Amino acid sequence: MKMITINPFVTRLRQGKGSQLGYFDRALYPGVIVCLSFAPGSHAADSAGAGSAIGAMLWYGAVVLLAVFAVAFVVGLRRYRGQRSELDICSPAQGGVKHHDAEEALRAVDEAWQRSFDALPDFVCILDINGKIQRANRPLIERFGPIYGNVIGMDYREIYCGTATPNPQPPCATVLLGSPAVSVETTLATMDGWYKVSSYPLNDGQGHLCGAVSVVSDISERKRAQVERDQLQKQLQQAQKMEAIGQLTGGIAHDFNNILASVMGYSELAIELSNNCAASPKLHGYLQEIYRGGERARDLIVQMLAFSRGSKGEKQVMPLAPLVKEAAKMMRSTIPSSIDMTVDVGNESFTVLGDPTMLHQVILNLCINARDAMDGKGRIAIGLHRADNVDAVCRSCHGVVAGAFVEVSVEDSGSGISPTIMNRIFDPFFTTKDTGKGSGMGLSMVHGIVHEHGGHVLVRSTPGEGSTFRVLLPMGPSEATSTGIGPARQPADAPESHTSSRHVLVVDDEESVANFVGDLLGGYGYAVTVMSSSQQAMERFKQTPAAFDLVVTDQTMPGLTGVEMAQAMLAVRPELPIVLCTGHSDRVDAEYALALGIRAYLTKPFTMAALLRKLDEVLSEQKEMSP
Amino acid sequence: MLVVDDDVQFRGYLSELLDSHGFRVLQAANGKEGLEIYRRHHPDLVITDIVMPEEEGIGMIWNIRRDTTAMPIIAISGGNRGYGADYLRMATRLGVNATLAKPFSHRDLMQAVQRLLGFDRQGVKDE
Repeated sequence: MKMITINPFVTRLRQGKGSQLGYFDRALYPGVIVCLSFAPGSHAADSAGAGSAIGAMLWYGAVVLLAVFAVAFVVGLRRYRGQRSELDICSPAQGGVKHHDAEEALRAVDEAWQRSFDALPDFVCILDINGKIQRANRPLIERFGPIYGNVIGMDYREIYCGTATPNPQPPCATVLLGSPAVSVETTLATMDGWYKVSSYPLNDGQGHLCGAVSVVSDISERKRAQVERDQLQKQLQQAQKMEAIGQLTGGIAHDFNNILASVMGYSELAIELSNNCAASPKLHGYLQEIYRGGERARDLIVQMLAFSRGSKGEKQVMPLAPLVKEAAKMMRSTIPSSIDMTVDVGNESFTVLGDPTMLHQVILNLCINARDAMDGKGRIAIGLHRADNVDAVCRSCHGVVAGAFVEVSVEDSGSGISPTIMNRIFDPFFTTKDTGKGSGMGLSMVHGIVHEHGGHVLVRSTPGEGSTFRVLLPMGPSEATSTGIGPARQPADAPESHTSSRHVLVVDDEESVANFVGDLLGGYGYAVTVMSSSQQAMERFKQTPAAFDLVVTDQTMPGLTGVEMAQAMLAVRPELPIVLCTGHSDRVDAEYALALGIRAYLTKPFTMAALLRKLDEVLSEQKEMSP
Repeated sequence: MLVVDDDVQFRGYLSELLDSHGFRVLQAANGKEGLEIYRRHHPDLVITDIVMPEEEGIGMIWNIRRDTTAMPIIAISGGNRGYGADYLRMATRLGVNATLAKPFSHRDLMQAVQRLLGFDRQGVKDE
């Protein structure tokens, strides 16, 4: 009976886990077997013979042994039970790891993983196959926790799109449907700025899709920098385009005018001829049309030259208020009475250095555009005032505009300008007006004339509400000197300008050339001292360095070359403008000359016009530089 | 009358126009030629373009002005080829009597000619 009772335990010990139970194999199991084998009544005891002394001793010995083994059995059983609970959770390889150690290890691994997860600056979460958030890192919880409470279990689309059923679905939704990893740069409904939204498929152990990892990175700063870079690039391209068109226009204007002069001249001769003979009346009409076509082409060239800043005009210090009033008066007669026009010239003492005809054209063009932007009714406000602390970007040249200016503004309540065409409004021949109603040169002329005057144009426009054009012009001498803003500038053609009062030292060892240049400059209005020796010229200069405003010198001369003389002069007066004239064989290039501080460089043979032009440029620069 | 212009078509037109008003016209294609003809024939009036190959009108004007300030000169130009300098203004500084920007009308030219020479349209000298 006892064998039968104990057997299941022994059987279990011999199976499976028995190999791990050395304690029972070595002590408990053999003891029980021996004890049971010699128990009274058993088959082994009967065969030994009852009542013998040896038998009695064996019996008592067996009882003692049985007691010892019973105690050992109880202790062993308790320990076995304890080991069983550990063995249920330990892998064979971790056979020696105790229960609490394993838990600690697991916890450490999990914490390390979470710390790494939380260390990511992006919003990262793990989604189940339905898009529900299973785990989220700290940045995500800190960002959305205060809004939604516990984000775990929420649909990720609620977090980022504000709804679990956004339309259209975010791109990462496709990952949960089986598409490969996806990454897009986008804005989100629930956060300001730009984000890179990435989603990666997550597979289970068998390679089946079971969810996704969502990573949302804030790229607002990069996007902002990129937008600024793109903006600058566009501005540069626009500025270059305007410059290129301007150069092209200025370049062809001369030749075009020459051609036009012949066309118009001959057509006028033909008209006179047709008047004096009995030619067909139709012929007379045709010739007049040719002439009228020529007049239109001539006007167009004038406009193109204004755009290309080829028309320098006759600048003078002039008050702006009368000009603004006169232009407004002229416009009033062309504007229907249903359009309310106001003129506010404020302080009438504002002056600018400008060409009245050209500036008049600017105001007229802006007013005409304002009128045409309205459908026969609305409001035009023309203003003249001072603009301090301007900090903006010119709409046409895209240069930075800063400082104080005199501002002429033309504001209308018309249709406004669409942002999509804003960058093109100053382009030559760009127009939104109907065919035949606008040449597309109006704002191009405004751009050219205003910049020719050192000014800029600012534009503010809202489609459907109207536009405001602000022409900013440098203040005239009275304003500038009275307010301490910038140097006062003299009119380009004023008698005291850079020709008549300037003293030029001409140095060339070829006496005839020196005299020729001297005569030329004298005829142009300069005071001239001609020297045919560079050494004598240097001596003369040293005696009265301040007496000369400009030096024109040859390079190849005996004793002291032009460059050597120039260096010696610049050592005394670093700001002295020097124009160096060299032959092609001279080993002086423009770059070298300019590096030495020589202001300008001419290669022989040069025309007189080129020399005069160069002197004009150098002295103009000098005038602007001098306080 | 001396007409100096490198544009043969325009030179032809000017000659035709002036001829039709009774003037005898000499032609030159550049400043160098013009100066030679001027010195050889001593015309009553010089009409010269500014921008020309070989020798610009500016140079010819300067040379004529070195000789005399009495010679009436009309400078004409189609523009400045975008250089930024104004040739007609430059010519005025060198002492020309009138400037005309191309294209100009018959009336503009003939008014300038009459003013400088004191002739009426038929070439009869005013008293």
